[in-house]
Amino acid sequence: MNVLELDQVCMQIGGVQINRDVSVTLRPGDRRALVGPNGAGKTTLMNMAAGVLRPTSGRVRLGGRDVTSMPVHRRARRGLARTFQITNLFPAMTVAENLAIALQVADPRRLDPLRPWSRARRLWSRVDELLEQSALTAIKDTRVGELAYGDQRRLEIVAAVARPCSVILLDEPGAGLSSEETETLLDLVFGLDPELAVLFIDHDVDLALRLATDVTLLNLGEVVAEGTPAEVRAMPVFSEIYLRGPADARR
Amino acid sequence: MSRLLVPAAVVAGIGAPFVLDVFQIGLVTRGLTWGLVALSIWFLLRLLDQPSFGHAAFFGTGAYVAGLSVTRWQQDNVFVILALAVLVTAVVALPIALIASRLDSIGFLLVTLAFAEMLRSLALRWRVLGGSDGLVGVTRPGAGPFGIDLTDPVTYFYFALVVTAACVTGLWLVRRSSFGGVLVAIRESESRMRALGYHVGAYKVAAFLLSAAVAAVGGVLNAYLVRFVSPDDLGPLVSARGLVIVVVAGGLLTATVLVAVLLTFGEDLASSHTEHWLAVMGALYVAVALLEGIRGSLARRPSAPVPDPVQRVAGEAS
Amino acid sequence: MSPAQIALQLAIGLSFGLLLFLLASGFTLTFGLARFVNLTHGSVFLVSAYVATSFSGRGSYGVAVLAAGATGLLLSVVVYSLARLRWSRVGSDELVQVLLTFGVLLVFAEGGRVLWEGLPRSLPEPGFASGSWQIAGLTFPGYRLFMGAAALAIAAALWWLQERTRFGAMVRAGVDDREMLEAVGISAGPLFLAVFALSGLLAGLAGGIGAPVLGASMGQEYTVLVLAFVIVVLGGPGNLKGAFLASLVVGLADAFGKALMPTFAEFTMMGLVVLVLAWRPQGIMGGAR
Repeated sequence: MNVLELDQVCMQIGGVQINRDVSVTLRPGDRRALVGPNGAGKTTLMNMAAGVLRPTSGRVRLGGRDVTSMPVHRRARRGLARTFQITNLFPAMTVAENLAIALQVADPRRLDPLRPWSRARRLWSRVDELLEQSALTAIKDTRVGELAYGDQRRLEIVAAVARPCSVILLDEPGAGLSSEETETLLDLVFGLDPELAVLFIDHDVDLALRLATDVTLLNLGEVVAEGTPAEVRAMPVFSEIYLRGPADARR
Repeated sequence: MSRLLVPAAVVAGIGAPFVLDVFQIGLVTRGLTWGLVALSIWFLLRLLDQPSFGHAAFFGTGAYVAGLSVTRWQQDNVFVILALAVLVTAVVALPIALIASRLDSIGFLLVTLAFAEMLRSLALRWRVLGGSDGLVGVTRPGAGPFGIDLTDPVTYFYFALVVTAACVTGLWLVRRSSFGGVLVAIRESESRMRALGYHVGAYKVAAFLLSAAVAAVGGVLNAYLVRFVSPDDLGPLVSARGLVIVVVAGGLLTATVLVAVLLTFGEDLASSHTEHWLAVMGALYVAVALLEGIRGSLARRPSAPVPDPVQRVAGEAS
Repeated sequence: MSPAQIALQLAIGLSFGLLLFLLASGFTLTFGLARFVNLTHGSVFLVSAYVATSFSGRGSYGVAVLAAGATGLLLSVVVYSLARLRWSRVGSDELVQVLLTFGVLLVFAEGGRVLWEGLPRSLPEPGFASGSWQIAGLTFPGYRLFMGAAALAIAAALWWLQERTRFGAMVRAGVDDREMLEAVGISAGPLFLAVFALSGLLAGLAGGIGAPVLGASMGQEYTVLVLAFVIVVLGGPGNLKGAFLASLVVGLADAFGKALMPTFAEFTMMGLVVLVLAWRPQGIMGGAR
């Protein structure tokens, strides 16, 4: 069964057509790279998958179920995780607190308005476990705002997958990082769970094609190529876009 | 320093009637009710960074419920009345909570003020609520199972003190609870909270209702203190006062109540010296505004908050 | 309601709405451009209206209106100057603005109360627009029609200013993206001052033009302020077209509300706001220009 399906989605804002008839399918264990020049509509597509934007037409399905009008938080509860292009953590809170927030989502005791948060022993021991697993224990009490960028990115991913999820959307996980750091980060994600489906956007096409199992190439909001990295790399449209440069491809 | 505030305040509270005369005790009691309004504003501001300029709506609703309870509804148990006031206020606040929580901070500000003003004009026109004369002859109810006499000013003061202390403690606990943590996280990044699976809107509404409830309690206490309810209880001056108190107190809970009491004495002083005391208060607000960096000391980080990365993109989306 | 009554309420509502637009447009511009919540606006209207009523001799209608406009302009500049004293704090923090402008509102309102003894006052209708006018067999209060027309003319001038002049272009650009404006080399200070002055002028003119029907009375500073808020929230900040539409809607809702259910008039207005915002949180025209 498909973990995530975008079925002929279109996105129009104002008079601008951002995406047209885009279809993307993810099966368990897929690692699909979403590539294309700037302005190709990749982030918009990801936002539609996440539920931040509602497509003007087309359907979005999560685990077979139509979620096109389902709000973001309910998709998250159904196993869809995502990270953001600009690091989106809670800067005033510590690493441990950031993870705690991520972990307690489904815990009914989080609603208790009178019990001090610090007393939630089971929660904090789960946080400690997670910190150990991700080698973050050393910085657990540092405020996220003070962390090195690479650590922030890593934390973001750890927090995103803290709870069981079937698919994770990574929007430019490598933004602001070197290629090596990006690769380490992506390997971290890929190593988590063989059944986890990953859809990621990255500007570094070579890296993306090297690490992905499938590729979707977008240009001007439409899918212009799709297939395994080798297949896509061999397609003429790929060379047009990536060897002549994005500005030329638009002409 | 702030460690000393709580015991100091408790001592001051308990000892006040021995030091002050009846009129002054009345002022302190009034200060407590204003403190509750300020606290209710503080709650939303500190935890969610939402500035409300319309909490008079909830203070006033609580006051009107209190007034109607004794003049029309034959209700004589102050605890029942408090519960009723909270309930009614929550119902009244709900529609505003629902839309306000979806607005940015300026929209939130405008809508809350507009809401309070609209309630005020309703109270002005509606015979049922006494119209522009308000509700007069509001007597103090009984204290339920406790055989105390609330008509005695000192007893009433202690009653108000206990209620205020209970609210302060409650808010303090909430801030430290995981619910409070969630609210702070929402303030830090709504989009991330949604992506993690939190129903952000529901949390904001819950926080708003809690805040409204505290303000309503203040309204009830005030109604029985002055034995009078008027549309002015729903007016912008009430909201502005609450705001000024929060600002000056810098977000410390106990300090908020203390500043409120101080302000009551201040306003009394001003009004006994000049009939233009409103202008004096206005000048005070201007001075506080120009001299204090509000948000910096209260909720926001020192640097300008980074715009929510998703909000920028999403625009039209829910 | 009979057709004649409906037509009457339409005229009243639309003319009031147009007047409100003058008030709200200034508010939404300072709001959209400088991110500044100017609560003083209500008292600027009030004091200007009082000033206008001081010129109630014969043939002095024009002077009254101009004086009101000038008063409004002056008062707004005072507010701006106060804010400028600590712009780094005031400019970026709504709460500070609220406290500041509310404080000034209290001072201005009290000043008005002192100067005019807190009594409601009115301005006689000018000779050329008084009495009732007959149009298509229906009777309308002449001055209301004139008021609407005058407000519409000013609104048109404002639109021309925003759409066709360099000044307007700068304002529009600034509303869109303030940082870009400074990056392009247009200094914000003089522009903000101009917008504040303009908003004050408009509010003052509204107070003056509205004086024959609305009069000047204590308490107006709050009622018009709330209506301005509602208009800005419904129409979207900095959005003149949205404010225009919203003003008409609010004016009509006010007129019909007061005619049909006087007790609940403002309350139903709030209900309207709630409904619109529940349907579109960004206002009637949010986002669009």
